[in-house]
Amino acid sequence: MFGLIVQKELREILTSPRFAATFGVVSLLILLAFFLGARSFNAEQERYEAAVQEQLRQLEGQTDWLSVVPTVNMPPQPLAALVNGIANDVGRSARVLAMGLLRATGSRYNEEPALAVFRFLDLEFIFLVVLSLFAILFAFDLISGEKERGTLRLAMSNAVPRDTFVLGKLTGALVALTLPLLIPLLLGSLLFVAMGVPMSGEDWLRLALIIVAGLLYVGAFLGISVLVSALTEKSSTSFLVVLVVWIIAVLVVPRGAVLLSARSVDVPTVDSVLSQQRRLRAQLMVEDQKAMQKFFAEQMDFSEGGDAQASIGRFNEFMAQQAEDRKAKLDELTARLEEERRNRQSAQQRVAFTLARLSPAAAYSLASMSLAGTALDLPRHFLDQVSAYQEGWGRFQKERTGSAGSGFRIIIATDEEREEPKAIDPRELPAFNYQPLSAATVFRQAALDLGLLALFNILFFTGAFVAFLRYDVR
Amino acid sequence: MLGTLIEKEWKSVLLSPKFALTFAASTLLILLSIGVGIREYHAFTAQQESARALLNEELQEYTNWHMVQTRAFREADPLQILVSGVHNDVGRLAPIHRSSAASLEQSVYSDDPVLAIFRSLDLTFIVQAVLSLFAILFTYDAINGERESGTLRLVFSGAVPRARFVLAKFLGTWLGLALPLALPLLLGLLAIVLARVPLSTGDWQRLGLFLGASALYLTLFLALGIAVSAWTKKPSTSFLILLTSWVVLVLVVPRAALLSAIQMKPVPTVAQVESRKAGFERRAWENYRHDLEERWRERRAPTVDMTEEERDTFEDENLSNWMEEDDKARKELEKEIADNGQRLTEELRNQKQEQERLALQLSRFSPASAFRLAAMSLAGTDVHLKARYEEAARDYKEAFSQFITTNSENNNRISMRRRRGGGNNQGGDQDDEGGGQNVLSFGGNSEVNLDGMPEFVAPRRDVKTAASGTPIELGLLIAQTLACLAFGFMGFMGYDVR
Repeated sequence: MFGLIVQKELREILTSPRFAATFGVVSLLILLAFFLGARSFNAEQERYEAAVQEQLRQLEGQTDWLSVVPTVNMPPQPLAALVNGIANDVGRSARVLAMGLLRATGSRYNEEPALAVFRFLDLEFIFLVVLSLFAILFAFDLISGEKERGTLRLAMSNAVPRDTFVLGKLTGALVALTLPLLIPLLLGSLLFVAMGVPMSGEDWLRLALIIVAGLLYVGAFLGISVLVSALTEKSSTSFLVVLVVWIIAVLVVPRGAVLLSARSVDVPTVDSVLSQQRRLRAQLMVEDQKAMQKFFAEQMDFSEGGDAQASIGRFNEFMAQQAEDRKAKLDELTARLEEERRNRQSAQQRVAFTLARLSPAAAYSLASMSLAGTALDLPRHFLDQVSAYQEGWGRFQKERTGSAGSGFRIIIATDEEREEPKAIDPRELPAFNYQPLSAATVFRQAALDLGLLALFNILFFTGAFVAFLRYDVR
Repeated sequence: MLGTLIEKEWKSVLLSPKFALTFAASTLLILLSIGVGIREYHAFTAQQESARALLNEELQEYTNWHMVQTRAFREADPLQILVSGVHNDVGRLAPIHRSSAASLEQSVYSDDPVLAIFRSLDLTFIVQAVLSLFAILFTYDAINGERESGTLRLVFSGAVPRARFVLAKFLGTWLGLALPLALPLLLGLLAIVLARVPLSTGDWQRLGLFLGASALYLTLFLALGIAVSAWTKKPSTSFLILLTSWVVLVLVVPRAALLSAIQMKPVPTVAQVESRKAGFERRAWENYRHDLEERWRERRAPTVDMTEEERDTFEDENLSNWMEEDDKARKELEKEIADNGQRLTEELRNQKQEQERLALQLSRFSPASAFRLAAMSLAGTDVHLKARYEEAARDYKEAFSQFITTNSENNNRISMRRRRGGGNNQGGDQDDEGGGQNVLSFGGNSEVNLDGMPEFVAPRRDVKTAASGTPIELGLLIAQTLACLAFGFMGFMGYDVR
């Protein structure tokens, strides 16, 4: 009996014009998202490599590692092309002085505002807006429509248990909506590979989970639609009610949550953090200058017969020490300010996301962004890696030059002919190997939202089931 | 006759449940979006104000002219409440220093990524995506719905001209949609005034033009709905066709156009250009150092056979000339570096503008983009926002550098010197107080008095300039609306009303 009802429901949906239309549009959109994602990834990859090469080219003929300030770039990630998250909003490159503050600058949208106008058509957006709308279109009249047409009465006049009937309908609708989706998704994935996007085994697993999250999200809207359909008498009413629910869940709740949280937690601005750093730095510079003047007056020996070279050596050492001290003080302040800002930010995010997760749309967005590695911890993760690189770069510079780029040094020009300085080998420049967030971290982050989406499904389907048991089929 | 038909249509819309839904949903969304906009406007203004206050504190504390740096702040535009455009995406300020490129940094979204997760919800988005969907909902069954319910047959059993009927449908639904939108819009505007957002006459004019563009955009979707309804037999078919067109016009075309433009006209990244600039600068300074060493070697050559006394006299006589010479060479070099940077930045900007132009031309064919572009241009949050500010920031940087140079003149280098002593030095300075001591002096340490420092003037656009970017978009919207209306008329003239 159950099989029969599922089959009937499936056949009805699959042969309807709305299935043909939605399937066509959705397939087009999904394939477009994969195609454009792959194009965008390849273009970004090319530009990333060009930037790296350009840097090496510019180092050719240089003779002094001390004058080199490498810039590191965040390489594009394949999954970020499918779920943009905040990847285009945060800085992607950082200048690395041997010591000192690090800041990521050059967000893609800031560099190319035209991209920000239309944003991208990514997989997350298609699921979030288009597929959820189509789920409504499929299911808003599942119960009330049958009642209007009189077929519900007919069906119930036979010995069909209500629970079997509604379960069959729910299963049929779910299968009819989700199974056909797998075809363009599969084709899209093949397209991704064919266009040369390097996907690792882990990436595939993450993509699969992004799709599962998407299907769970679509399932949640299907559940809501059937629930509303089982609570209303007329299909036109159920359509309007579901549409309002959709607007609230997709457009209002997530943004409202962020707004409310922004009011509830006061986060120190980046400006105040940067300003305090700048002021300390200016103050330290002035102190350093005085110390250097004192050292210069008292301990340098430029007299006839004195060893000027040794003096200069001592002076450079002294300045390197000063620079180390300066760094330690700046680091201490930075760490304190950053920690405070991070803590407040985390508190703000907790409030925002807890509220936003009342909507399946927010849970889906957060899950897919976490899985794609384009969620909120992307900028922090990048800077942590740059910071590790900075340490290595500082060591490298010191090894090669004996100094770690303190900002001040004396260059001595002697009257004797001296050797031409040797050019540096740009290939020796330490490479920046960006490691994306580990799979374990990503899965841990996404687990809560995936669980929530599953819970929404169970809740809405149970609701629909219960509502139908009490439905007046006449 | 037309009046009666319009009244009938209007009444039937007003009494339908979809009117109640549209009214409720649009009231919620419009008020929410304007509320969000007002809050973001005030938050942005406050943020910029406090950043300015911090800058002023920093400026008070400088004791060295060389370290003085300032910032040019972007100003909020009241219309960003309705059209956020690229406001959250481009930088809020440009650091101004003699050696910086004066480009905008620290966008709202990069500073606070939590806001970027769900993006902002502005009125433009509501009109572009949600209200256009409502317009379709109002009209998808305008003609074929009446046919299905049998009322079309009844109407035409009377002496009703078809053209008048379709015109009445159009005007009736237009009024039916305008009413639920007008009320929350008026409330929203009142909220803007009550929230003390300063609006000048020019701002009100731009706002009026924006509302006009929104009305035009929604009219287009109403006309499209009626046209499709007049060419199909069943409402379910017309709804599907319209929904598909909506997805394509609103979601696909704008993005696809932009990405095609990127593929067709690739532009190097800022990172690449910065690398080129840095490379040039490094090479230039290395050459300068090399030349400097050469020059000092030549200058000292005649002193080889002199006594210490003669050498000191010779150096004292020539030193100020030598210093001037070195200083001149250094200034020339700095200018060369700055010019090269400027040239590379300009090249990049031109390439980007080309790319943007192509993208905008392609995407305009979607009414959603045409509307969005017109709205952003009116609100001053368009793609050129960044370029406008950076140009102003560059001019400001010139004035600022000039100010610093003038005030810190003859005081702008690190120098070390030993009076009456041997040793090698680079860039020695006449320093009578040195006596027999080594003296290290840092330039720029004279009293820093920033009175009279030039102020950054944010670029402003009057209504005329703001509106000058919209005729093509608005023209396209009008043309498309007229085309849809004509298409609808044609369809209905041959429509089988039975």
